[in-house]
Amino acid sequence: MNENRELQLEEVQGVSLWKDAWRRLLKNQMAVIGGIIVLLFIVIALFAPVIAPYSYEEINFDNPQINQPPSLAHPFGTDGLGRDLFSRVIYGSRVSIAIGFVTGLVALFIGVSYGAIAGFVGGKLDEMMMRFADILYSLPYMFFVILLMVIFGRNFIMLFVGIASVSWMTIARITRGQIMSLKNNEFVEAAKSIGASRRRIIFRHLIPNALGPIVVYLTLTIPSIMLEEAFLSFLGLGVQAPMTSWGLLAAEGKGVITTYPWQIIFPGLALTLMLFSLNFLGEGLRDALDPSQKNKL
Amino acid sequence: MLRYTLRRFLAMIPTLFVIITVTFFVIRLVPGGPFSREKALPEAVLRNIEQKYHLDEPMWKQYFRYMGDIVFRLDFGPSFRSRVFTVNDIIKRKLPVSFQVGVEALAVALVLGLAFGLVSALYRNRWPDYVFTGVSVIGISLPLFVIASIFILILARWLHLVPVAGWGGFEYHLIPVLSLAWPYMAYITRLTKVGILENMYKEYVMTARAKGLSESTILVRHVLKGSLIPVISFLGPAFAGIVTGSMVVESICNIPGIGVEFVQAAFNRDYTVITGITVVYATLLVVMNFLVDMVYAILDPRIRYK
Amino acid sequence: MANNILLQVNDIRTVFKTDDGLIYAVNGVSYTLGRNEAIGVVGESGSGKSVCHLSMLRLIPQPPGKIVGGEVLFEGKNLLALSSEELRAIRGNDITFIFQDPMTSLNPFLKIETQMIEGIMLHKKVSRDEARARAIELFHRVGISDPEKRLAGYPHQMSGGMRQRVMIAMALMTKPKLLIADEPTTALDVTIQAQILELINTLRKEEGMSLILISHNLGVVAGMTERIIVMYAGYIVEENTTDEIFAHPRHPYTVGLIRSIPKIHEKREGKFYSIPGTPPNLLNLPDACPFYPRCDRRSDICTKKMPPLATNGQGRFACYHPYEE
Repeated sequence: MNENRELQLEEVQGVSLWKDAWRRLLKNQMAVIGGIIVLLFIVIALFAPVIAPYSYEEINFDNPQINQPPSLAHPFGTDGLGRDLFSRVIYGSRVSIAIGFVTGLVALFIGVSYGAIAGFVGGKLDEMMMRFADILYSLPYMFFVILLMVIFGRNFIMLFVGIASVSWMTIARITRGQIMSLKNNEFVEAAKSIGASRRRIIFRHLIPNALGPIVVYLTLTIPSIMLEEAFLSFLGLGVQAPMTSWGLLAAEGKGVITTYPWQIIFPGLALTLMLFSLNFLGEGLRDALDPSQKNKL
Repeated sequence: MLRYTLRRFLAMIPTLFVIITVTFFVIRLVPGGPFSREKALPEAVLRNIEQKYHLDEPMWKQYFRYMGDIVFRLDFGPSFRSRVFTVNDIIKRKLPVSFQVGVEALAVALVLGLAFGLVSALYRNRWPDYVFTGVSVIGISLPLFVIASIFILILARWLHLVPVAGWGGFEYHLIPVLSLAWPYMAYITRLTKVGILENMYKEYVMTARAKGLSESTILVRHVLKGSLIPVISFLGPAFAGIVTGSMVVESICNIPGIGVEFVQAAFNRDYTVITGITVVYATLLVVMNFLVDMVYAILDPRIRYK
Repeated sequence: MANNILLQVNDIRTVFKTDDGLIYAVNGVSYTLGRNEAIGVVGESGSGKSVCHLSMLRLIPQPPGKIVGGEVLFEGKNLLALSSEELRAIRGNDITFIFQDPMTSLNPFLKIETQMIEGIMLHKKVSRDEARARAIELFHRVGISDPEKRLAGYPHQMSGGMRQRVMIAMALMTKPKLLIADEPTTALDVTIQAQILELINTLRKEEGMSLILISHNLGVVAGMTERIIVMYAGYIVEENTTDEIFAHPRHPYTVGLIRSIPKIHEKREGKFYSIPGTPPNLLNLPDACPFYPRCDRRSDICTKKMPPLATNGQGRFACYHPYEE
């Protein structure tokens, strides 16, 4: 009676998590389209000087084309100073996208480190760290950023710092959750048994395995960062002339909405398209990496 | 219930205290003061101004003076920028406007969100569900200034239903309120729909079904309360979001509200105005959270019978 | 007397549709229940014992579930064919349910009183006061002290055992003819379990109700029922009187179940016995004996076709190699 008559359950062939996720992602049409559009935007931003027909500040002094509606020469029309809006939107994309991604990476770095340490060490330190993050989280962040901008002046660096300082918290929370659930996994025991230091365990073992949800939240954090920059720039507290971003372009157009609507519409559309694409890509990644989360809020 | 209310009420006070203090000191960390950007003023004039606004006193003295003014006389002090108006004047004139818009937006978001969410849940995977879900997705994804611009172009420019900008009677409210409300209506729709669908097969709902109650009775008596809880929890952050959003909407729609005042004061480094408005905002948020907690306790007996 | 049969279940079948295929949860269950009779339905999780009885009252979510066959005759009426209104007139009125987890089976947002009286007020059209009086009377009978205070309170103010008593009282409000109790004690402390079972037993005899007691624990049903049905993978694999099941179990699964009951008075060397293997995957279930992988009496024929329910006078069983004793 000691024979093992364990039922041979059908064993699904073990597929690597990433390959499986990639396959699922490709099946999601919206995510793929989103991804392509994001890549397109990035390429356009990188090659702006080559692609844009005019420079972003070029004014034709002999024959100023002020406030022209969209035409063949100026696909997005021109602004109040006669500058080509199409080029300005392209140049603006550089700043908006750069801020989005770079700040995203900064927030990623801060968030992952913070969350990983809190998650791994646990106990009192974790409690304190999370309590602090919770307090920060409950502040209306825009307020905070505006106050920061007021204090430290409206320069480019502060914009990065300001926005990053309110965006890292979600990533920290996700990382911490992941680390906590992975912490007691076998491969950590194995690493410990060969005497790996804690720092090594965190950075070489835990983080790579926690990467899935972190990547997902990165793609969902970047659009919110871009929105924050647009918000600040729109109010005049963000990017400053002569640089342009989509938010700043929209601000320039806001006074003449009813007379020259294209001046606010096109930057708005560009931003919207980018946001939509990033969101679809992010949702697609989330579904691909963890199908059980599908359709949850 | 009474004890819970009292506890929550008293908790508001230290929070506000901390906020006022922090804002006060943080603002004064700014290098350069409110007068440092004007053309260099003659020494004597500068000193006079500083004396008038008590800027020459040690920091802690300024702080206590400020605190005292607020607590005992509800006086936020003079505006550094405007010689004529005090902060109180500004707040008195502009706050009601923003407050109206904000409350209306929240109400619209709540009512429409609940209604759409209910319909989406009942007609799941049929066309009403798709329509409302689609509308919601658009609301969440578009930046606020795009939403507002679209409304202006369609409702004001094209259909001539409402004036383009400015402030006055009811027709001036429509665009700002709809713009502010849309994203939050979207979230509430989704929360309501998910809440109802998830609750439909909870164990205690099964018990009700096993008793032979009709589906509509089950929905109203058993499912609804549980589904409302996440929506109520969301009202706090929603209100905070509406407050921030008002800065954009007031700017676009040319509304004389407190949001644009805040931005302007931020530009001008007008200490007292910034602090004053921050305190007002903070108070609104704290009170709002208090109200949310109250509603929560009314809905969920587990909270009030701790 | 044909009128002695309260419930006749004929070949009820339920499936669940999932992305991966069809789950065959209930595969042709048939049995008869008389008035004032108590039967136990025993099986592991996944045996279909709960789904079967929920299906009888059309309480499973459709979709993803679907009742694909059979009839359930309650006092001659086919519950599966009635209109919604007609079915709801019987549900909670002549047939009542007690669910497994008292912690989640009561609505935390409503007063106990509301939940107690809504059924009887709907079905028997009594006044609020009459309903309240009945609730208080029942609270006394199930052993809840201070009934008025409890009625005015909320579920979270009660312990698990007390909540289950409330559930029992609630199920008796309308003087039902049939009580279905689905694992009524599984979620409770061991010390409370016996009390609750005792209570159900006493009350049903006092009220003259029929009882279907569903459990994974043979011991639980042993003391309360006259007949036992053993289910596995959505099939009935054995049915007999309680005495016979214990004295002469025929199906290897039943044998295994009995063997796994730890008996205090027997000396045991080594580990406790448990049936080796795990319950089968109900996804795309093939037409064969589902117990095959775990059976030590199996042979080739067992994989060819599901053994039919056979009878030899007393009881029935579905096995090609039953125990003879």
